Order: sequence, then structure tokens, then C-alpha cells
Amino acid sequence: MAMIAMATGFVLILIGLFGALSNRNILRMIVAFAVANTGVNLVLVAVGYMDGRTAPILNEAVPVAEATTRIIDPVPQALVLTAIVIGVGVTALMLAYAYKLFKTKGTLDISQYTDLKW
Amino acid sequence: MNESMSLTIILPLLGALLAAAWPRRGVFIGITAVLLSGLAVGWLWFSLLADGPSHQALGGWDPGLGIRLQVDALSILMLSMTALVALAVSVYASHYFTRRSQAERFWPLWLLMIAALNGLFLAGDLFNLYVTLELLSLSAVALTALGGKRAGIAAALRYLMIGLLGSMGYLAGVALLYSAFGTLDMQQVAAQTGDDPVSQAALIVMTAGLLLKSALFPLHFWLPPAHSNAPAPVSAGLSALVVKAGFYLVLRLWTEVFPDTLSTQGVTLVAVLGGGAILWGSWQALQAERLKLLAAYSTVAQLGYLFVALALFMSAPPGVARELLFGALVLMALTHAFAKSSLFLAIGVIQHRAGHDRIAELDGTAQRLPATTFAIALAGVALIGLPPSGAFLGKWRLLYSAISLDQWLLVVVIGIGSLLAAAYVFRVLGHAFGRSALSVQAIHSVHEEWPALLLALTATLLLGFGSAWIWPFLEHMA
Repeated sequence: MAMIAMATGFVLILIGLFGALSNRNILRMIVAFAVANTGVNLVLVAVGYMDGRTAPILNEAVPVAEATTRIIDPVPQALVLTAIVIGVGVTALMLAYAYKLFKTKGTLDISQYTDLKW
Repeated sequence: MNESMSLTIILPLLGALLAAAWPRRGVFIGITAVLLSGLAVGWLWFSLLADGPSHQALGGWDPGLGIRLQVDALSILMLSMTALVALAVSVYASHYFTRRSQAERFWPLWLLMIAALNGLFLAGDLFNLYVTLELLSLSAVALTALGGKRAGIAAALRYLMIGLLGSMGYLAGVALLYSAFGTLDMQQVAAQTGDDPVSQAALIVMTAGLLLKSALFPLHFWLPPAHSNAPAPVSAGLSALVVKAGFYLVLRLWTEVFPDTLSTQGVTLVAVLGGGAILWGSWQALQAERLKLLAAYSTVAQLGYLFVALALFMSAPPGVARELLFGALVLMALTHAFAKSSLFLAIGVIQHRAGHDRIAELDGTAQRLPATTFAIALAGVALIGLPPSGAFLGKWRLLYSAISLDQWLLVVVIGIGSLLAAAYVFRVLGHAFGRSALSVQAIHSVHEEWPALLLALTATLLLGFGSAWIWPFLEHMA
């Protein structure tokens, strides 16, 4: 299970990177970055997964005393939550800039935006 | 001790929130927050000198699970650099923005950037370095786009995409390290890394991500447009401070977390790239038609020096020469921060007064703005690496190490880089001292010109004559 998730994560990273590098359309690039970011998060979650264990929630089903042998590692999940929040912020900012650029020039082709002053 | 560490992060963060909630008092809140966090850094100095390097477990959670802040000689020097440059730039920025909407957006982002930088220099575990790195690039990107022009927004979007790519590499490395060692605390990870495949893979993806973020040639392509299209105070902050964050992290990772993982090929590669950065950056700076672009390409070249010095430091045999090179490395980073922020602020003054920053049309600037031209010349001295600047001491040590390690090619590259730097600085000064056809009145404006002048004087005189303590300090407080 963890291996499948891990492999999927790496495949997603590669798909995302390929998409980001091979597309000139800003919107497609942003989607590709989001895919790659999801891949990294998936790898991070898969790192903490342990076969046959349950979610890291302490209640009647999983008493504190047995927790260390019965739950999966909660730290990567906490990290991924943070990484997801950051990813949302970054994606939102990218979309805002893409929208602003589209409004000024009417195209999403990034190779058209070469009007940097020298 | 402990409070001062978290205060350096909390105060600018609180200021950012207040400035966002109360935009009309942005200038007052901004300057106060920068001053107070500078005082917190001062307090941290006192406790560091009294108690030596220490760390703080936030909220009482032990390292391994909790978040650890740590301070040593390197981080306090970086914090002081941030505090001083940020203060000067803030004073300049308080009168820079003509549109109120821009000023109101500047202060929250600027304070957030300082909070992220302070957090990055104090963080003691790998994941929080990722968080602060992301906070830093988000605020830096938003500051880049502050001008609101299309070129600036396009540059900001590129900057953001590159930053995301870099931090994904870093995060992938963090995931690898956690899967192998089960901890993210830098000291605990450092105790377990070796030349095993996981450590090597983590080192490679993390370093590649950070090199992308710190714009090492040929990964520098995003830097010149981003730095040259931002408003002047932002350019100063980006070029002086933000690029240092990536360099600082590479330095920490290489020397403390992966000392046994690093291979000679990796070090050689970074030295070659650094050499390429020196030559290409200086050459492009010489070709630039606009002052801001010249300054941005000069940053690419100066980062090259830092990475060459780092590579030489990693390959030097243990001993006195290696310790001396480390001090030189830090001194070069500090000098560049002060010199480059001064240059960008001075360019901002010229752009404000003349309405443009085209190098070919600078005639008469020396008559009109004598103090600013003086600041540019002083910053130029530090960028070229002439005595008595701090960069001269650094480069001297760098050349010495290159010669003693038989790296003659690097000696040649450093020599050519310095000549090119002299050429681009004198090209600007040559135009600035050209006689204007119109008779002009000299302008003096205290809050506009003084920050640049003070920063340049720090880079050239203070860090040249008064920096001998840095070497023993780095040795005893490591």
C-alpha cells in the first residue's frame, strides 16, 4: 500500500515537472505545478504509513498506552497539512498574477511576456 | 535568553498584522517594528556573548517532535545584517512611495519578509526551514509585483514558479531524510547522515532546490527581471537579504548536516558554476543599459564569489587556513548585503530625481546629487573588492586559499571578475561625472540620501577596518 502511494507520488512529481517545463500556457503550467506539489505531499504521507495500523487518533478504540504500536506515524501528516496550506497560498498567488497578466495583454502564452525593460 | 529569540520573529510578524489591519499608520508601525526587532537582535547579542550558543524548544516540546530555535555566531551575524539593512531600507521606504495604495501594501509584506528571514536564520529543524523559506518567497514575490506594471507581474510570476520548483526539491529532500532517519531536527539528522544513497539523494535534491532559489548561474535567469522591476526599497531587500537566505541554507546543510555525504565532484560542480556566475554576471552587468539591471546582474556575480568561497572552504584541509576562509566567506556575504542595498537605494534616488535609470543619460548626476553619487562610488568600491572594503579582505583570503589549493583557474576567474566589476562601476561613474549641458543645482535630501550613504560607509569602512573580531567570534561561538 505504502509502496503504491510512494510510486504514485514520484510519478506525479515527474508528470508535473514535465508539464511545467513543456507547456507555454501559464494556466497549464500552474496546474502542472499543483500536480507536482501533490506528488511531493503524497510521498511525504507515504513515508509515515505503516501496514496494518490505524489513524493516529487517540480515543476508546486506541488507548494512549497502546498508541505507539497501533497507530501510523502522525508527524508526516502534520507536515503535509502545513505543506498543503502553503501550496494553496502559492497556487492562489500564481492564479492571481495569471489573471492580472491576462487582463493586460489578453494572452496566457508565457513566451509573449518578454517586455522586460533592459 | 529564550524570549529574545522568539521576539525577533514575533515582533515583525505582529507588525505585519498591525500594518495590514491599520494601513494608514503603516509607516509608523513599520519603522517601530523594524526598530524593536533590531533591539531584540541586540538583546540576543548580549545573551549570546554571556552564555554562548544556545537553543530554545518552543512551547516546551523537546526536539524531535517540537520546534527548536537555535542561535550561534553565524545566525547572529545574519540577523544583525538583516536588522541593519532592513532599518536603513525602511527609513528610505517611508518617503519613497508616492501612491498611498502602494505604501499601504508595502509595509505588511516587508515586515512579513523580515519575520521570515529572522525565522529562517534561527530555525533548528529542516521542516521549519521549509516553512520560513516559503514565507520568504511568498512575501518577496508579492513585493516584486508591488509596482503593478506588467513587466513586474510577469517577473513575479516567473519568480514564484521558480521558487515553487526550488522548494519542492527541498521538501522532497526533507521527506527522504525523514523516511530514513525518523527525525527532522538538524542535529539529530546530522548525527546519522553518511555517504549512504538516501543521504546523497536528499543532499542532491535539497541543494539543487536551494541553488535555484539563490540564483546560482545558470539557474539565475529569473533574478535580473525580478530584482530590476521591483520598487527600489524592494530591490534592495531582495538583492541584499533574500538571496542570502538560500546561500545560508546551503552553507548550513553542507557544513553541519551533510559533512560526510558531500562528494568532491559535487563541490567541484558548485565551484565551476560559481566561476561561471562571476564571469557571466559581471559581463552582463557591463552590457546593461539600465542601472537597476546592472545592479541585479552584479548580484548574480557576487553570489558566484560566495559559492566559489564555499566550495573552496569545503575542499580545504582542516586547519587555520580553513577557519580564516570561513570568516572571509561570512564577511563577503555581509559586505555584499550592505553594498548592494546601498547601490539599489542610490539608484532609487537617481530614478526618482531624473525619472529614469538609463546609464547613458546620467550626465550631470554628480553635480545634481553629489551625496548619492558618492554612495554609488563607495558601494562600487565594495563590489569591486578594493581596499578598505570588507570584500577586499574576503577576496584576499579567497585568492590565498585558491592559490594554496592549486586552483589557478579560479584565481584567473576571480581576477577577471574583479576587472569586469571595476569596468561596470567606472562606466556608471564615468557617465555620472559627465558634465550636464544645463546648469544644475545640487540637491540634498536627508531621508532620501542618508540611508544609502550609511549603508555604503558600513560596507566600505566599518566592515573593512572594524571586522577583525569576526574571525575569533565565529570560532568561539560555532
